[in-house]
Amino acid sequence: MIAGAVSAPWLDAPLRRFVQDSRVQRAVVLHPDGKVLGQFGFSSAAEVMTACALAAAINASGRELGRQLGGRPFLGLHQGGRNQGVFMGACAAAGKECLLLAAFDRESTLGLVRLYFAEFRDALGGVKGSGDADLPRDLEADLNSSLDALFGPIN
Amino acid sequence: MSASFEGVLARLQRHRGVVGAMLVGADDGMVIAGDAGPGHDPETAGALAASLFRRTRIAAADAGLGEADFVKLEAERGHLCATARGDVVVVALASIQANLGSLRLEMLSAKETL
Repeated sequence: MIAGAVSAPWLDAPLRRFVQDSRVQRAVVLHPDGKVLGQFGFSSAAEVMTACALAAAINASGRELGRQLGGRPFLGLHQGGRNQGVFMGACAAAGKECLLLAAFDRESTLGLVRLYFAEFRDALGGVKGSGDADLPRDLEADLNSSLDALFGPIN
Repeated sequence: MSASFEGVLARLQRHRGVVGAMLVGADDGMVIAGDAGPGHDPETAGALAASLFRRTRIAAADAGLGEADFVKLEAERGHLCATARGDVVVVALASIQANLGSLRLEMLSAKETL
């Protein structure tokens, strides 16, 4: 079982199921601005912070590239290596956009990750509006509070 | 689509009892060509079939049985058969009435043309 934590209760079961079914090594769910909502498989707050910052930047770049090339933003991304791959997909909970970033090795495949991401996205689609999904007022403060909730305060 | 891909799929789809035939990437589980038959999502079937084939191969090797060349899954309403050549997994979904011996030979023969 991969250890993880979520700051939004509605995310726990769908994310846990995604990680188990797709056999990814790590997964993090975040708002497009980088605010982390939950993670599995990461060992430190610094790792999550880095992953969220990079995911938010990649998402912003991909969307802009999509707009410029075809008029519509890209909604997913995959980068594959010989032994590892990364997948990022967009979903929505309570009307707010979220991103899921997952890293996987040869225990899984892009096809499986995409398959179970679709189930994850559907599960989150049924989440009703609540304060948990509100957009953050202050990026840094919200990011820190999310990381504190997941890992405890950084000394 | 490559002519050899089309040829393999055509051979399998002509086989009596076959309801779907696909070529799937062994490493990524993505469908290269073909379909899973009416009412079935090819991406779902392809990803799961490739995963099943790969894991069965690993299990066979770990058990000291050597390389698994052909995998057959019997289910309540049909069969899933898979074999591979290189990075491509050849998948056939067949009804319960299909002649599996004949289908196996067809798949093993067809994959050699890839």
